[in-house]
Amino acid sequence: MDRQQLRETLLDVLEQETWERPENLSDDVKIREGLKLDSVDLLSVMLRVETQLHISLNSKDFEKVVTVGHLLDVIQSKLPGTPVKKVA
Amino acid sequence: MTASLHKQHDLSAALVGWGTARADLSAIAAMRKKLPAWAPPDTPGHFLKYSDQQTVLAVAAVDQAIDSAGLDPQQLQNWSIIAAPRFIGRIAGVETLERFGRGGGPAISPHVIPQHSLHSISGALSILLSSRQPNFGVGGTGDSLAEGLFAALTFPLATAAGAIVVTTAWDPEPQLDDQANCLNTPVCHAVALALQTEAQGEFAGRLRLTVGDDPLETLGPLQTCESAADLCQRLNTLVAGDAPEIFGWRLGWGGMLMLEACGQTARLAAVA
Repeated sequence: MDRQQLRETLLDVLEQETWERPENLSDDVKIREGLKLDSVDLLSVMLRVETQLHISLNSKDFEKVVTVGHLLDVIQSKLPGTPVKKVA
Repeated sequence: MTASLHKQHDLSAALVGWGTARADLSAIAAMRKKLPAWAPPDTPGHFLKYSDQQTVLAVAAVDQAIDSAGLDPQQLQNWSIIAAPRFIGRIAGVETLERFGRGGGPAISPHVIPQHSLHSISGALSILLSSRQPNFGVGGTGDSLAEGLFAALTFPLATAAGAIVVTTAWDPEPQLDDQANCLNTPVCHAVALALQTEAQGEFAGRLRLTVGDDPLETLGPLQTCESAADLCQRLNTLVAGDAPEIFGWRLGWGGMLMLEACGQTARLAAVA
């Protein structure tokens, strides 16, 4: 799954979680201010992503997640066959 | 207003306004998508998506109270918020148990604890009203209505400009099967009371806590209300301009709570 496909998956999940499909899900969009997700919302989103992509995410993975780009990095690093990339 | 409700040694507060809301389970889904006009502009549209049904009705009742009392939502930032739900989280609890049995821990929504617990209603209202005063839930079971009124008179009014007391309950309670399917048509009720100790002008009534002499000797028999559902229905029978009704609750330690309420022109926020 490439990054654009992953972004589409995240869009679907966000729509399920918030009733709204974000118009802009570029890497620089901030999770809290741009998507209006609080910490519980983000956890709920990640549980949906885990189920949908059959991956396992760790809470420590999200300590430095601020933007959509960070989030996609974390998810992408968990996909099978993807080299681990350190979140900036 | 009845003169006997002004005794100096009693705790009392003016009821500056009240609001009610009532909706059956099927109607609540649509209410989740409608945030009150006084919600902060940056409130996410999904704010009430995972809220307990009692929270959704509480917000509607507060909206009604603000409207009927002509309160300025901006000033409510300095009001405390007390929620007195009865059996909040009952539907979510069954759903959670069912999901846990099916998928274990990962199947449980992280929204369960923050959205379906005793303090969830007051927390949600505090965010929506941008309140900087204390907010908390009291009761949670059958006596929550009286406990909420008692808390309003004894704790937060000392530091806040006023208190919003919201009491909520199902009547009838939802009947759920093992898969969390609802087998009946439960109706959720909410009553919001806006209370101020130093209010000026016309009131919609008064809440009073009395200890010692029995007010029944001077006031005669009082009506009592078992729950928010009962109070919601009684308040909505009041007619603006008619004499106020007085509701009473005897407390276990000898005190008595009395709520005097007048009819208002605004009525139910939602009826399904």
